[in-house]
Amino acid sequence: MEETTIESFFSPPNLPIEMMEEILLRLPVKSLTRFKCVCSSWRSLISETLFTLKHALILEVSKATTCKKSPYGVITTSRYHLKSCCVHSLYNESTVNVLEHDGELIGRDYYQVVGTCNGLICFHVDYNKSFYLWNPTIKLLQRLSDSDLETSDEVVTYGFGYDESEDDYKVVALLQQRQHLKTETKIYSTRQKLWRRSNNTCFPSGVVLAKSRSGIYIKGTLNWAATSSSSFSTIISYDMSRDVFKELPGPVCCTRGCFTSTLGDLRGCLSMVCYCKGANADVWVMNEFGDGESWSKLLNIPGLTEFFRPLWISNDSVVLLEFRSGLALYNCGNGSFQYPIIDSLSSCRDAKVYVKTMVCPSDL
Amino acid sequence: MASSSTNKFVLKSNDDVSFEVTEAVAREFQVIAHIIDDDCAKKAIPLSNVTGEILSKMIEYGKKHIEEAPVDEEDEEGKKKLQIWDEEFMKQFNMEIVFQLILASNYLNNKGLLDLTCCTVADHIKDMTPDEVRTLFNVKNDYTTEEEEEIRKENSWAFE
Repeated sequence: MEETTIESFFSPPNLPIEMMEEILLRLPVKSLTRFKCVCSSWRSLISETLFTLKHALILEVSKATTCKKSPYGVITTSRYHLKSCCVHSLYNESTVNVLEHDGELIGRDYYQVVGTCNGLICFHVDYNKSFYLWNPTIKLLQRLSDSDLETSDEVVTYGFGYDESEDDYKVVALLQQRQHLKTETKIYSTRQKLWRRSNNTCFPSGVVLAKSRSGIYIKGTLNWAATSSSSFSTIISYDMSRDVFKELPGPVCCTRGCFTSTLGDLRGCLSMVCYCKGANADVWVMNEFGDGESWSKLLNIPGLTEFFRPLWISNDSVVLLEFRSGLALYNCGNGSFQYPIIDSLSSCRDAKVYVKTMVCPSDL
Repeated sequence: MASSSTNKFVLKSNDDVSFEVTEAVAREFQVIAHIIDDDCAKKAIPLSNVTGEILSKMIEYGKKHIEEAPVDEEDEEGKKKLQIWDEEFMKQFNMEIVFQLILASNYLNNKGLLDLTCCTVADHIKDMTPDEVRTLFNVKNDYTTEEEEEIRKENSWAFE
């Protein structure tokens, strides 16, 4: 008997390739990588840049919905290491597996995570002053062309994001002179593989960026906390496609004795931590990006004055927080803390949530 | 003019099974909504690519999503309830039916059901070996043994 008669017991309607693509777009990276082995047409489809971008965007959209096992990871520096773990396991597993990535990268160094977008992580290392793009999910690394950004009398603040209009991943560097409050913008294009000076002159004058905090990428913009002479605390927002800066309104908190400086990305929304009168910490979320009216207070933690940043919120309102001492889960319902992995992530800095995608850093 | 909850339409499958549905349920399917808007829906609406068996399931899905639609964006509880119903709904089908539902929801253009059915297949195959996937989708392996071995080696971490 021929082999095919066994299969004809169940003969599936041959799905057209567009339908097959719809199914593949909903698979995790590991399955997709394995399925490159199925046949050559699947392999070329899965390797296409457009496919990997669509895959990343579908994951972004599903951020709003509950996934059975969410495809998100947390990346953070911890002393001289770059480490990661799964958001899902932080919430659901008693022992969280923390991976240390130095070995597969460039060894032990001072890693600074600049930002993450569509599953790519942009980081900077001290020893060669270079930027790298890295996708930890598919384990591919790409070094970017060198720059001459570092100067002694300027403070440099970075950001990393995706410019949809040019289909280009960009690193943005803001150089502020210590003395004259003048800000210069330099932009690296991964498409052109070079740094250029931005022509725009619209960076608001008299605005000082909060010290060494990378920009937060939200919906095609990079956002930095800053202080201005006129309004005390403000947010500077850079539109990646239009190459312009503007100021965003902050939350209407108590006006005096308030200190705000930490921006974050909380499941696609801009978040801000505000320390009120030195005794309480509030987390605000801008529900509609760009609309100052849409700020709402998400939580209030009495007695908290140290640095922290919200990284994730589960559907039942348990918030993942980044502290210098490690990561913690805060239950908004009953105000209790839980510490899933305090030991291996002490001294954590620049923690970011990334989505697990197939976007290839060397193929942009 | 009758409201969309009282206005009725008849959908007819390719094996001549007819279903009477409210306008709201009919409009869950973009293609049918267009037919209604173009005022071509005087009699029964024939659907040449869908069997009665599949159509009845699609109507069941459409009805549920009209009746139990979350009140608004903030209605987390409503969304959760519908999601649990979706999961239960899909459990009754084998892959052959799910494939037919994919084709039909693409043909009638219902984004929600297309997403749900594709997620169901993705979930079903995510831990499969390439060989199992080939059998399920009737895909021919066009690699030589050496080529396949090479690709396997390149992506060995995905096989662990």
